[in-house]
Amino acid sequence: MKGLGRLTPLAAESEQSSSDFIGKVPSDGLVDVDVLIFDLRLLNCCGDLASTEDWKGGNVFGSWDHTGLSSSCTGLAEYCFSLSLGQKFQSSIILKWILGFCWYLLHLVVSLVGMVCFLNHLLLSSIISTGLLRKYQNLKLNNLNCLAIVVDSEEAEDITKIKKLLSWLSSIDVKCITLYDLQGVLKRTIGNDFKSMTNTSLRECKMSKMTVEILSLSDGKEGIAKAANFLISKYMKDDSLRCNGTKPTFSESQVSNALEAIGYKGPDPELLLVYGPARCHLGFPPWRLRYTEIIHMGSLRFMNYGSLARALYDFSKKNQNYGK
Amino acid sequence: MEKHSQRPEPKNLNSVWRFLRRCLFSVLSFGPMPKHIAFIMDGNRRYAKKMQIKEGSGHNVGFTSLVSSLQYCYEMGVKYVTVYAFSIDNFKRKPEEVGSLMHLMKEKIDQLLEEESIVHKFGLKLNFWGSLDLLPEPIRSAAEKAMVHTANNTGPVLSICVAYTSTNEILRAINKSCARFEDKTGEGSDPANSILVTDLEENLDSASCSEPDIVIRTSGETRLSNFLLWQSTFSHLQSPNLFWPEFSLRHLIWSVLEYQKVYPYLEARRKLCQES
Repeated sequence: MKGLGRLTPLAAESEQSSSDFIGKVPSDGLVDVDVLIFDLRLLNCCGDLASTEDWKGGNVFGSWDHTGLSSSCTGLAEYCFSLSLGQKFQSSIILKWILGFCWYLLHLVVSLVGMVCFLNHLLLSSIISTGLLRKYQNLKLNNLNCLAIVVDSEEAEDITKIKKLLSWLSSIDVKCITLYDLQGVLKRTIGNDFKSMTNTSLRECKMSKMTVEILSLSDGKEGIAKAANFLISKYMKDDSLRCNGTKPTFSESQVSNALEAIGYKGPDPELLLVYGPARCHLGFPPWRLRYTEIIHMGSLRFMNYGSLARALYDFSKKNQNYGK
Repeated sequence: MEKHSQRPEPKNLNSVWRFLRRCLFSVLSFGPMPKHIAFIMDGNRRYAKKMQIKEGSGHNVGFTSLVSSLQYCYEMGVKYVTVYAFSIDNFKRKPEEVGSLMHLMKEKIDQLLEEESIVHKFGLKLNFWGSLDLLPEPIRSAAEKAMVHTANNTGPVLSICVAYTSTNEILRAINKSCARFEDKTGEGSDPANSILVTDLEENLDSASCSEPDIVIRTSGETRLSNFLLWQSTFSHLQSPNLFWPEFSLRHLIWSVLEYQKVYPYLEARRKLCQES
């Protein structure tokens, strides 16, 4: 049984998106084109084949610009796509295997490079941890008023690691720390510890020399929504503003003040360290992240003093233009 | 004789290069592909300094780099590309520089609307995000004209952030949500949690796009500089250590490969967040 896919140019009014194209293959004894084989001869015949279409179903080996098809090419196109069903099935499996193999190969290269970088970093961090490199001792952290740490929620369950990190930061004289995790694990674990120790609120705690603030996803976007509600609430109650006929137009400083009023205000961290598998801030409060340097520290399981010192040292050397 | 044989060659070479590119993209497509990539095009001035050319020319080269990166993105099947062209903070620069950047922007917007441009090649839809009223009149009207002109295009989307900061975008969304709330309700009513996160998200400039999968900032800087702070909750942040005009296909491919490595983790976190 032969399966023939005949391509017809799309209607001139391109109301249908290009992804509808496969659906347009006529059904009179023809089957869907399952494998698109790219024929170099077609390139010369059909002119510019610049755009790429996403084909639904099947495998793509090459791509097609339907607008490049001229009527004289249809015969050639039919030739290219005439495959028997059996052949089509086999060739699509082989193609999948080849593509998959190449993809895994590419990722092997990426992983190898990643491994080399990781080992390099580990080596340097170990050297720094021994205290041999003078420049990483006595860090000058005048620029750092507040340090934020984003931890992956699963890794945040390991409380001993978090406490160790806090003690390291305390020894480096970091005065203000904001801890964040997506699901509020830190609030539940460390936060509760602090609460029992010092009888203060869950979110903020003053340790011996350090202030530690603990946040989660609900302190971000939801905090801003609450600030909006606070602002409009005040506006509605203020008759003078409303009678003027002016539409509510708030300013950034009003939003900041509103956030403070409802208890969602905190200092903007200058540096944010991400402990997790990926460099991603995972929903840290957007209003506070404007000019924050975001550094990926790797997984919390592999945390070490050396990489922390290195990150802080690199930060101390940074210069920001703030847009200028 | 020699000249005649040289002319058809570049076209064939181009075709072969395009074919190889498509093979490469087919291999990449075996894994998860990003649908939305955002670029912070940093390092044009430093590139100009490095290559010892005029500072303004750095931005010109940057634009060429942008067009080729866009081409590769759209060939790969990326549906949305967002670029940080000009921040509200950039108005603080020297007036001559701001003036020349504005002039460049107008020139490039007009260029994008020409027949042979990438907009027509891919049927791009153009969006301009930001406080456009802060822009000088000629650029603002060029931007609005471009948006109207491409409004009905069904191809991939290019969003250009001019006179944009994320906090300003959030502020405008708050103002729009509050104005809508005021219209809907009567006097003396108490909002108390009537404005939700979803209301704000509907009123952001980026309401019609999905969230970015990757945010790439060139020149090795590690901050977002007030760009897409709300939308980048689960975006993979990347900081390749090269200037924007040097960003090429191999950097883009590396970027996608890095994204594919962390995709399972980010997707799992995104799903967790949606469920709770």
